[in-house]
Amino acid sequence: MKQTDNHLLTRRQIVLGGVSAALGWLLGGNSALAQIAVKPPGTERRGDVLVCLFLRGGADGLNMVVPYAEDAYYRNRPSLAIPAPNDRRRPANERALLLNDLFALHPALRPLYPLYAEGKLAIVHACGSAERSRSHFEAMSAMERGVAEAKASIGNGWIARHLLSVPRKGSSPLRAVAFSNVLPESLRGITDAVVLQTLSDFRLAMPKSMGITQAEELQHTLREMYAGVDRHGVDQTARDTLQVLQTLQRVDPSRYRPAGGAVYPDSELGRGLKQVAALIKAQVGLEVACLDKGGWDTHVAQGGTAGWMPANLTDLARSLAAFATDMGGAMRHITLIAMTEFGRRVRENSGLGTDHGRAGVMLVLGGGVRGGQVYARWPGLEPHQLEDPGDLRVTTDYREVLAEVVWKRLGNPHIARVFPGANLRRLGVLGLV
Amino acid sequence: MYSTEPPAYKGRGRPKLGSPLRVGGGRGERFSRFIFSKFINRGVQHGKDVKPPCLHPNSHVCRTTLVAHFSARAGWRKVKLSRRECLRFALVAGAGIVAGCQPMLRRAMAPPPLVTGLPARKHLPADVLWLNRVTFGVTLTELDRLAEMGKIAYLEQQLHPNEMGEQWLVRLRLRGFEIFQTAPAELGDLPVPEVLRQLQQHAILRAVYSRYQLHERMVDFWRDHFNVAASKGLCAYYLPQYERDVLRKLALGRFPDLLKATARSPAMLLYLDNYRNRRGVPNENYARELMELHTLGVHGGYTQRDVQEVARCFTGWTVEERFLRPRGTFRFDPAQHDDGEKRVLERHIPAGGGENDGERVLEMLAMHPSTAKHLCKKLCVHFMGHAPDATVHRLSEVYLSTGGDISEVLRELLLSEEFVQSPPAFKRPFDYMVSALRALYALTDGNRPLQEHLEKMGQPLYRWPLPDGYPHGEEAWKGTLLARWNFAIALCANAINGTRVDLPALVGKPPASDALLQTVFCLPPDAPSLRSLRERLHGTLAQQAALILASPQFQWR
Repeated sequence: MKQTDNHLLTRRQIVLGGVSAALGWLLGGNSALAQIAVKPPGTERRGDVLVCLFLRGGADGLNMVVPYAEDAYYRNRPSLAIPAPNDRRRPANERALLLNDLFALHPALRPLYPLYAEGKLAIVHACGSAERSRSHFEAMSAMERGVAEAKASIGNGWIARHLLSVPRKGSSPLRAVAFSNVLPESLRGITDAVVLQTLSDFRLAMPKSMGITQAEELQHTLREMYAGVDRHGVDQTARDTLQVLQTLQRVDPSRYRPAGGAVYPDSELGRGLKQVAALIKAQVGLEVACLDKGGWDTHVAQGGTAGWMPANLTDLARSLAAFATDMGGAMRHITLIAMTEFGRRVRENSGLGTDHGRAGVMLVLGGGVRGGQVYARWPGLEPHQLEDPGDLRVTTDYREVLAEVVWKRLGNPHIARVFPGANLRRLGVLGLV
Repeated sequence: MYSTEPPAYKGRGRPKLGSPLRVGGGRGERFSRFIFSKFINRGVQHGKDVKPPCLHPNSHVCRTTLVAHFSARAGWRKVKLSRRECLRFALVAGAGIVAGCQPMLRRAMAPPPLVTGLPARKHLPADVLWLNRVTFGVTLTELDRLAEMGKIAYLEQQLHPNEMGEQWLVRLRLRGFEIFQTAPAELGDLPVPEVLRQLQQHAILRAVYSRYQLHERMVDFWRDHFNVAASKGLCAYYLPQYERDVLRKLALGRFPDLLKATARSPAMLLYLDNYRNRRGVPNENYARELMELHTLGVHGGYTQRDVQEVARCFTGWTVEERFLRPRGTFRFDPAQHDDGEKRVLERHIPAGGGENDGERVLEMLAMHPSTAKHLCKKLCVHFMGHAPDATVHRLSEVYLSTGGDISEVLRELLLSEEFVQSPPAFKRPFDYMVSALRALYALTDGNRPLQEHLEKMGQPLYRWPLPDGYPHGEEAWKGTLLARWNFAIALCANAINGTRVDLPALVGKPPASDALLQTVFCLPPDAPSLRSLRERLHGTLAQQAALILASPQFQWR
């Protein structure tokens, strides 16, 4: 990605500004976004906006992207297996959707099918980390810190290291946003990550009885009070928080209306992605957004084509599809990664669920993605091809995927700093983006 | 309050106190004798003056009041109360209690105004810090108690919580929770959010008002250490029982007992799926978290093989769900237990152990040196924000030599030098909220409006989705500063429904910034740590209080 350091507007920027202003006008006067369609200074785009979605609990990759050509899959999962696309004994809406001669998509992921066909969605199978503890926390911690195994001594997150290794463009306080309760580990290590539950919560609420008419006055005092505190970057956080407050005073996210007729599901993920869309369109300098979707730890009653996990998949697919529709052409400058800490055991357990396994699935969605393919060095599901005690082997290091995105889509050449110690010979081998 | 009409007196003269009741054998009369013997006579023995009813939190005053009214109007000799009179009495008293309790409760929970003007209260900053870390937040009242009792006696009292030692109005308030009066298996009629509302309300009320603050802080500790997320399955319905009979009851006892109680609790069996752990198809979830989180710690020296073996030991540990049995209780199912021999942590467990396999594993794990280290480290972080190696080592030795006695470990930790010398510890949102409520002597019902603030700060209780519990430290929590500021503003502006602060009663009329600082921090207002804050205070009393609670000085302890 070419970097433009001068502040003169290029022809492309002028055209973009004009188009977005026109779009804003078309959307109507009640959209607050229309008022700020022109970028604030210092927020030039370096690379794509990264949306990182973490599926927490270990999503079962084998049922998301089904290796329907493997007999072993059906042998190991007598009750959980998804019927093959050509299985005439089952109704069509229960069959997996054909991707290629080995893989098919879970029917609940149908909303993603057009994106795959258009080449915007790429699937990486049999990928994961080298962490073998099968502990949620260790595996999540390894992935969020961007290391091979959790015992690595590196303490900060990979997204944090990415943001630290590129020169800071402008001073946007909304550079990295996490829609979560607590700061995700992937953003640990930078002081300007902002944790939000909803965008509209992000203001100083002033009850009338307080008698303060000017929020600015209070903000000023708070800024002064926290300026002298130097413990674990709390002063910086306070400063940035106050800055964000001012920024958001110009945007009213509660009145946001999705474009292109997109309908976000009324779920935590749907609401989260809608707010990411609002932030991206508001052009307040968002570089990274982190979201979580929990509920993948399906030890008991996982459900095959209906039930617990399919409900999760439906929400996931509808949310991502709505996001892609809403962003429209702007998807050219957005890359979304959905990842999980590990996949699940090949064999279903007595509770009609699956236990913690090894390799899982990653989804990469964006305008710059070479989609329409399943990227997999498939290890096979026969007993001798599995890793003890019966798990899909990891043949693609999850960092290969992340590194390609960081390098080619986020415009950050410092891969060695983002993923220290990773085997870089393979970088770019996937050709994913 | 009790000024409503008591039963008519038909005798003559002032009644003699304490004279026996002469009543007949009717059912109503037996009832009245019961009433009198139960309440009245006891009150009489106190023999206190009549005071305006129920302005004082001490319970005996109120009882005396009841007697005084009664004795003034009613004769003691040859009293004969008809059933109707008894009912009327009960009705009146009941109405009085209903009408009177709310204000009484409020007054009992909020001590009278403390700092008006600027009295010369001088306390050792070390004592202030000590109390701030032992409790959910130092207050002037607590500091006075400490000064009165001395540190050793105070700590002993804290280590021996006693429900009867709580203020009686607090006890009364805590008695009304439906979730604690119903068996888990019967709770299903309530929606999960209602169970959670009551659980959180109960936790908040205790944390703010309990006399046994150390006990509350330890309950908070175990709630994270043995986290059970309400969001999973039916866990929410088993949480009240789990909290009361396991975490709360054994919070200061021996760790092996607590560990065994959690292992058998339906809440944990459901949360970590052990109820589905069966012979031939073991479920590893509990076995893994047991070693990784509850005992040894992730680098405590166990292998994937150990996880599988421990899972085998716990096969058959399940929750009763058969017809006509006590549903929702622990059950060992021998038919589902893998009775072969096992090898856990290099030790042999012979075949045929049955339920004892699990017991043996728990004992082995509870007294393992890695467990001692893991637990002591977590305790240090919980109370001081970080864990110096030397302290952890010393505490581990105490732990191992006392058979895992939590009270002994706490004694060693809380009376150590480093306890008050270590760097400031960042309050978690729950700590922050409770300390603010305590500092301003707030009257709160701990209900949803308050709970919503806790959620915005990122720590809705019982809702951490992973078995490792809410984290500690600045890195995890600094992202929600804005929510803390908003809470501070809302609290001081009395904009939280069900929660009230009375600042003028607490510190007098403005300018009262010094009194406010002193009340909140229990330090002289010219203390070096408060200097910069003191310079910036301005505006009305509420604004000043909000600034104090929002200040960096109040985020650490």
